[in-house]
Amino acid sequence: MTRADVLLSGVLALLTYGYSRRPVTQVGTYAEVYAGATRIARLDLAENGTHTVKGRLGELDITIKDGRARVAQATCRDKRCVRMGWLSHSGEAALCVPNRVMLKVVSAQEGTPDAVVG
Amino acid sequence: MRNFMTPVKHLVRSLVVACTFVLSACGGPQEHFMMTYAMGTSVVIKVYAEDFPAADKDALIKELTHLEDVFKKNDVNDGIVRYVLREALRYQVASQGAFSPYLGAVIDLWGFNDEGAAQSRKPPSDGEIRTALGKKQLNLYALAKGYAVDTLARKIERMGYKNYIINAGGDLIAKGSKGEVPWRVDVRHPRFIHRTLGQLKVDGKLAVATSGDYQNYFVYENEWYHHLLNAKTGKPARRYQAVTVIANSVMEADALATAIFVSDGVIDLSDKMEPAVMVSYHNDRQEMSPAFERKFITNCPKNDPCISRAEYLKLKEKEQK
Repeated sequence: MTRADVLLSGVLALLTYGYSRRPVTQVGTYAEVYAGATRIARLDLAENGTHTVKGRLGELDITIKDGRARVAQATCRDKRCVRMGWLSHSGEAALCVPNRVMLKVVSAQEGTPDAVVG
Repeated sequence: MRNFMTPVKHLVRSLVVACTFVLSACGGPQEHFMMTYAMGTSVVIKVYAEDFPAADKDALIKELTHLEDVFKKNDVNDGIVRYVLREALRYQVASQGAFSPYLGAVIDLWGFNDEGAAQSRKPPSDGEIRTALGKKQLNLYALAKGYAVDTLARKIERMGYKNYIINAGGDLIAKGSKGEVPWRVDVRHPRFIHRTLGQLKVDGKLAVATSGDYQNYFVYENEWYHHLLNAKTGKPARRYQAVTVIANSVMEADALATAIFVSDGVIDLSDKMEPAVMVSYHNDRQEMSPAFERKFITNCPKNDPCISRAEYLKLKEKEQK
């Protein structure tokens, strides 16, 4: 790991820490998975199952169960994201820095709709 | 100098790594957008594809202009008009005459076709309404917008697009997804325009329409007059704030939402397998059929109207007075 990687990891860790310290107000509706800045999946927390996503170093398993989400398995050395355990409330997140993958829980109200009817 | 430059170099390299990481997302299919104005509303089309060339956009606008022209002329010898009229008459029967495609003169009398439809004015008298009802002038706008969206959807599919949204002022079809992520379609609150009641699951395809008393209205002496007229009285129906319907086609959703609204819910839906309907009442509460509930993710707290606590208490206070 170069010094640049350490610096980038630090920045990402700080951002994640800041994100995770946001006030947690409500039970989440979706688990969103990001690879870098790109959202690669939006999983309904009402639908139990295991999903495999591809990170920079290898695959990660995301498990959804009873309205919660967790990184069940990850191909990185320290497994910090796995140790984060279950996430269930809007604003909670687990970041796998070596894989550049983030799992975060959002509520239905968050984000911008593609269209509004009514 | 070396000691100073080395961390800077590493910082720049870190930023390049981060930027490359971000920019790597920019290749491949992406969201394209176009907007036009037709049938008295904005029409927004979003496509998720490699490209959405100007020639395709022009062809869609041309189709829309053609349909606008067809429904302006309302020539019953035209195949499209005949088909839409036949469908409209089915809803007239189901609603026992509360919905009618022959309200053209009444809508004109109320001024809901005009540019200044929102301006306060004295509503027409009962006598004037009776005369206008007697004219039985054809107006298919309750179904025309839905028909136009369905037609555009067929055209866009023929062009090869699989992932798109067409939204004509709330008459909407969504197909496919935005890559790995589903399209997100929200339903607006009938009274708080910047708030949404919840989201509709697209699940591959969604055809939905809403009829609301806030879409075209004016206020006269503190009374709210809107464009959803009961064909028996020629006056605005009063039971609901809004009716949202999910159906197999946008035209069906459009017609059903209007027919339920103007009939105050007195409608025969026995020919519908499982209608997906949500109604909003004047106490800001919603009621939905099981089929709608399965497609809906609420944005509201459980057992609470979809408004803030402060607004809810204000409403309660008003109710008690």
